[in-house]
Amino acid sequence: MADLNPGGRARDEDGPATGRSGRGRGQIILVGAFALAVVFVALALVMNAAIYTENLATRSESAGTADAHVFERTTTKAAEEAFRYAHEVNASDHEGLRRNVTQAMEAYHNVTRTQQAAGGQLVDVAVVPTPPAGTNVTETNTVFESPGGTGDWTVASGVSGTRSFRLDVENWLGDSDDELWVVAGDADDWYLNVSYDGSQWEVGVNDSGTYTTCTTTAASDVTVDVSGGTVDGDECEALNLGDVGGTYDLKIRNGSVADGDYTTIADVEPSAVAAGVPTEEVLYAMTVELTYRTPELRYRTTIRVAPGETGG
Amino acid sequence: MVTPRRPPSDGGDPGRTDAVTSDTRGQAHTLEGVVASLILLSAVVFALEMTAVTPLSASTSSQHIENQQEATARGVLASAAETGALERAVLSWNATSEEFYDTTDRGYFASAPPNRFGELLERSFDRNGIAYNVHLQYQDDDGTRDSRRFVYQGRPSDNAVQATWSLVLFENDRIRDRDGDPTATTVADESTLFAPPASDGAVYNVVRVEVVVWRI
Repeated sequence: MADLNPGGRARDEDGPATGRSGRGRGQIILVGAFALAVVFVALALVMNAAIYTENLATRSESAGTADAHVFERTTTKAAEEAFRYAHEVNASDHEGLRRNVTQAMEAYHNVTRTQQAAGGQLVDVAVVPTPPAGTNVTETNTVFESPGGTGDWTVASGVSGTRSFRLDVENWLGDSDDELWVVAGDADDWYLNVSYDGSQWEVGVNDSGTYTTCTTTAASDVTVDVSGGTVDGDECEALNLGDVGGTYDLKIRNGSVADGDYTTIADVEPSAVAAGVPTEEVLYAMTVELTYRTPELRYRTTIRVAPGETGG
Repeated sequence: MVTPRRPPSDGGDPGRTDAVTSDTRGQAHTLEGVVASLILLSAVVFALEMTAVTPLSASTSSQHIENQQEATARGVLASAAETGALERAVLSWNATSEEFYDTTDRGYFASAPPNRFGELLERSFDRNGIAYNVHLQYQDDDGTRDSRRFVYQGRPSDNAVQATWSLVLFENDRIRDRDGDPTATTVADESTLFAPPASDGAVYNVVRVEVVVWRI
């Protein structure tokens, strides 16, 4: 095998000494060829490893996080729908509403569990027990005074959160220097001021002693969306009632100076709302706990449903 | 393997060159053996490494394409669900023929369905030479999983990717007409609907919409 360079021929032409060195050169060439082969194989290996590395690196779905995210989004949508459905169909008491949303999410869990299991995912969805009670307080075309006719009154006491809180002031009944206030707790902490000088509405907020004017408008009426943080659709950051910590009493002062509509959902029982004000039992919020597990991933999160809440 | 032709030693005469070349050749033979074994070994390693790449994808570029297609399919589903187009498409049920409106004789669409969801699919995939199947999975009467073809364009290739979205149907959701507008019938009242009720409560069924995408 190694004697590829026939020694006889070389010896015949160039003499014995040259023949032997010619034989040696043939072997060197052979070894060189082998060495080159090794280098090529090694290069191919390196290339292969590089391609494989990039292949691994570009696999976005190595842990399936996107699937977990999709499942969270669909569950959020399902929870919101279940919440809406319960209030649409079963407008009864808190217990009935709680039962309704819990059963709906259980049914959702039962069906999705088998569907997800077929893809190798274990899921768990459950409503965190006892969704907080809420009360919808809504009055339309009313003077903003208590049912008994008092201008300064407490709408609801012991409130720690409100959602879908809106005030629509339509007609001014007072003087130009009168002010309609909506107070959270103490007037030093937070109040909303609406006034009318005969031609222009002014809406402002006093937050811990700092007064901010939201807007002045010459429109026929003014709509203040406290939860949404807007006045007539224009943003006003100071409206944020969520900054008022702890529990507070929601009061109206000088309610007799204006009329219009107001609506809010407060996280209290109907008994905490002033007597005579129309109320409706609703759920204030619902929290759903979600677990999504695959062999590579364990994902846990909570979904909170509170339509119309500030920041929600 | 190699038989070195070592000339008979004549006592190691330093004046002769034969002995030196013989020694060199012996070394070369040894080196040759070592290098040959290295080739064999590296070839085996190479062959072993090869198996890690080939079964999944032929090249890196196709992996990129798969990622893109998967992300697109996911985006199409998410936007269709967000706008309500997905629900309208799934609930556009023709109670007379007990099929979706305007399907082929086989009861499914062979191309993009004539609705907003179909437009999204068409814009995302049809124009780029990408085929897709859409399956609807739901819970059957006996509590097992069942599936129905919504769009079927053929058997997916090995490089197909899929994206899913779960659509929750509530018992008071309305069946839609051909244009996607709600009719007076709710899903709970429509006995011919492809998915039977999965529970007695508010949730009627959960339809898992699965889009399978591949390059033609």
